Amino acid sequence: MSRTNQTIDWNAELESIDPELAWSPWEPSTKEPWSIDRSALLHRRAGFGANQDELKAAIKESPSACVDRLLGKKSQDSSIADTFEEESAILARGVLAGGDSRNLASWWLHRLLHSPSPTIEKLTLFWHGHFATGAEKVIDPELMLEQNRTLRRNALGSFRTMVQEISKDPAMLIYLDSVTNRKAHANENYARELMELFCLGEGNYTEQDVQQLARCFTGWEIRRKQFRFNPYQHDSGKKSILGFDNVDSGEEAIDCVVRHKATPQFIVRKLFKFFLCDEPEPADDFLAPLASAFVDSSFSVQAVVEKLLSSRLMLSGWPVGRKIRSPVDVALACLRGLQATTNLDALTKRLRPLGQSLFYPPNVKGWDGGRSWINSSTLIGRANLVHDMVRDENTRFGGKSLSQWCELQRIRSSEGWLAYLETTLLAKPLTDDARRTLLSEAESKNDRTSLLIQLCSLPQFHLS
Amino acid sequence: MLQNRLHVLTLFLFVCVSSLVSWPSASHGQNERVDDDPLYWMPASTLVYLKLEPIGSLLSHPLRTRIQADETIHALWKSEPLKELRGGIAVSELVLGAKLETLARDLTKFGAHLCINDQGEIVFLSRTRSARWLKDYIQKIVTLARGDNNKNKPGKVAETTYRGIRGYEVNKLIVAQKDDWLLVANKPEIAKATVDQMLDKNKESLDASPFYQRAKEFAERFDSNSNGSIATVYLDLDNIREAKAGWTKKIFSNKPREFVAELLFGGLLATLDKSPMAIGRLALNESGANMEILSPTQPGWFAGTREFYVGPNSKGVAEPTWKTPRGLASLSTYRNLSELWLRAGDLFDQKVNDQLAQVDNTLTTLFSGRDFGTDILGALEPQLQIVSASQFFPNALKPSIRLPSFALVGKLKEPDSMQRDLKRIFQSFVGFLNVAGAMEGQPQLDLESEIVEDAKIYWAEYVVEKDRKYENGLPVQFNFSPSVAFRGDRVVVSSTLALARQLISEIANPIANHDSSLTSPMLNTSVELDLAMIRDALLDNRDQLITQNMLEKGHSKKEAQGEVDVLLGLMQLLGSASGQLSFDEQVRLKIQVDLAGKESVQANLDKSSNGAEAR
Repeated sequence: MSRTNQTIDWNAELESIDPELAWSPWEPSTKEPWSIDRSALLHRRAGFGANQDELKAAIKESPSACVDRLLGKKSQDSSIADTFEEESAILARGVLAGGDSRNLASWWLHRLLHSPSPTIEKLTLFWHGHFATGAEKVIDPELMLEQNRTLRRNALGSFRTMVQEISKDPAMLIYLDSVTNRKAHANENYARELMELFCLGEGNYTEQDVQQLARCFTGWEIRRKQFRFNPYQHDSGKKSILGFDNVDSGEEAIDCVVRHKATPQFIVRKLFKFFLCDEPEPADDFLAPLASAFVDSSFSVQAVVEKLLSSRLMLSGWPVGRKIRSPVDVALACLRGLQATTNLDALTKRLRPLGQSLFYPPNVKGWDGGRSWINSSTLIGRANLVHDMVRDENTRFGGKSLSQWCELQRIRSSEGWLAYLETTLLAKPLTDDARRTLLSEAESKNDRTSLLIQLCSLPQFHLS
Repeated sequence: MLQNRLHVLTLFLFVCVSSLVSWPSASHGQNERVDDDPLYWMPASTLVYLKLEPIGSLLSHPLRTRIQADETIHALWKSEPLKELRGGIAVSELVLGAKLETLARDLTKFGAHLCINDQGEIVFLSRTRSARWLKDYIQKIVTLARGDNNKNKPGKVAETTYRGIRGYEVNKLIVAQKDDWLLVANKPEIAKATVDQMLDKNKESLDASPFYQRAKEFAERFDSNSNGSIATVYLDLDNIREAKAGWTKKIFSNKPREFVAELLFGGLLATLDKSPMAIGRLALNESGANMEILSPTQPGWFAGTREFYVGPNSKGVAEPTWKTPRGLASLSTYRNLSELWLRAGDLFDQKVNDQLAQVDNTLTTLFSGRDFGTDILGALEPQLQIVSASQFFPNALKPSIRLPSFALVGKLKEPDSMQRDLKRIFQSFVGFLNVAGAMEGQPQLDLESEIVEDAKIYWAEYVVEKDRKYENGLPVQFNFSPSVAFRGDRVVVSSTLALARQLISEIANPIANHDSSLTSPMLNTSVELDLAMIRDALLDNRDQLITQNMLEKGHSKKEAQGEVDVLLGLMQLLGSASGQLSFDEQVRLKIQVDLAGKESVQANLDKSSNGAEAR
């Protein structure tokens, strides 16, 4: 059988899947057509879901065109993007004027909800978890906002540039106690995290590498909220890092770390888990084609993400239900899927007890994701999140009440409403029993909102 | 469906309120009849009696004509955020077959009356245009409620006849007609009792009840001005306190008082706890609307625990308010804060007292070991004023949120010693702010002082860092330049130097600057708001309001702008508001809201358009 006709079984174990097949581009066929379900999967993974109109529009374009659009490669109506950026800038100014970092989360939720480039926002969220920096220590909202902009600017760009910029980011250096780094006392904190958490992973460096790298960063300081190099405090002696000799400056040292053979595997593994599945851990060989694409493209994040999203593994449908939605995903899936808007300040507060406060990651490792999102208290909390959000007096659907919006969507029966919700919000279809139970409840209550809340409290809803 | 949700009382109120905002049509002449008096029909057990004047008189009031003639209101009425209200009115008019304004006039042609008795039963009586008109009107309402247009889910309307009078139960309300009177009640018992009285007039009624007789006498004695009255309410406080109905318990429950509530309303609550009655009146005059609430009072009711509020023998009097340029609000009051602080054990429950003890400890530390209740608050005379003014930022670099300034003006009992203490405390406070601010990278305060004639001013200003760009405007701290100033026995504690200077200068010339309109000898509290200036202050922060609206309501920028501009547009109509509370043989609370003069509306319009252009 030629590779073009080969398919990936939905139930296949990851180790049994041929990497070459997995990462080859998916093409629609009569057996695997470009459908609403596949489009919904792509929108859930590349962004935060989509409404029915968007899903229907997506299947009128080719899968690759859809991926290009999500990545922002395909030229969009620039006036939409300009208007959005102008609104976002006004909101940012307003939030900064208040001087409270906690309000930044509402600003970002506004972006996550309304951005015409959801993949860039999703990747910004990914990098926020990767280069985790917490506002409880940084305090200054201006610095947190600036870091967020740096992450967004480089979200799909060169990882090399990203690491160079984040290494000089004032919020990051404050968070990792590197506000002053003197040659007499080189601070090893940032050097260690750069290798362990940001680029290489555990076991790929030695304590000596940490010490040498820390020497390269001496003279790096933050003064008046700006990065500054103080040559008088720089240790200009010779250093060897990760097998690279004669390294001197911090910039050269970062380059050495990024060029290390472990970096591509480390980054693509994280991207694979973020976009494809929480479990199981893929083997290095399985990720090798992605790592090669990363290196060959001079560490372009876009090259890897594009390969992931348009791959046979993704669009065959194999990843369906293999990721647990983060709390932000839960909220935004509902809102984006139903063209809804809500009180974002209230949403920010509702996300806190569920373990995902934007700008306040739990520690320098960021959010673990996967099964860690779910425990006995967060499971109830996630159901309550949807309940509180949908019942919030400021929540509107396409600018209207839910019943008015349903009328406009020509949803007139409980069956029609459930079908809409199923295709828009769920990764996997409901069982017949679940469908019957929901419909009989819906008939007795005659309330669209109750059916929505009940559907979102089902375990299926928490899978992506 | 509209038909199924129709609620008779809601509809009635909707008709009344909507007719005020909807656009004018020809007014009707009035032909009042006075041969029936609902006072004979209302039960003697009435606790609350509300008398409404004919809506027609309100609709033809010059004030309404003035509002309707305003171009801003025209523009607002046609704006997007009010589209739904316009639509709702249009649909209602279509369904009811008449303009809402006309309906409201006809429905209350000769006034309306509402009473609530000791069982929580409510009856509403309104004398309408004519019996025939009313019959048609009730029929329309009943038809709508039955949902004749929606056969699948008809509304529930029970029909009954009592002593020859046909009644309908619509959404738990009883609606009936006696001649040209409309009767609406929430319980069958009161509906029947009212019908009995209308037919027989042989039972004790409100007119003869001791409460109403006393209230009428009290009103005649003290309620000097009832011109332009549109609503009057009589409250039987004695019986409300004793009533079995649950709703009264909510008002007179012995819940522990909040500190701020006690400070603001303690004296009023003492009156409510003892006074036999209260009368309220809402009236319109040429310049705006005013509300007055009167209730008998006695100095003995405050003796002990609440003397801090009214002074010994209720003789504590507030001073006339200070006027400042760009003033937003001023409050002048008589409150013996030291006495309130030291009597906290009698006034509050244990939880509040524990919190106050903590605050007392912190403040005693902050005030260098001087006891806060005795030494600091006790150093002030009970006459206190709080003044707020909008700020002017002459430099291009302004705070991104522009807050008004505010100040406390007090009189020191021992100025010589307290001035030194307060100066030292202020210096320590600035030092504390600088240390705390430095730890969090916040801007620093620079301490200064000046002597102007016989006044001393100590202040601190935030320092603008020369090499910083402030791309998003100055931080919010730059709204403050904390100041403390002294002139004679007066002390001013102000959030800004400008306001402190202004007040110190005005204190030098008290006669010219005091408001001579405050003539009541027993004035306890006076509040004045310059609503036009408040609007200006909000307009200054329009972008911030829009941001807040977008994040809190999930609105788009356009929607948020629309909503904020409606609010600012409505405020454009308003000129000022004032409130006065005085204690004599009666407690009297007066609130007046005045519309802006035409000139200031135009000035506001110019300001708005200039602001919009600048943005």
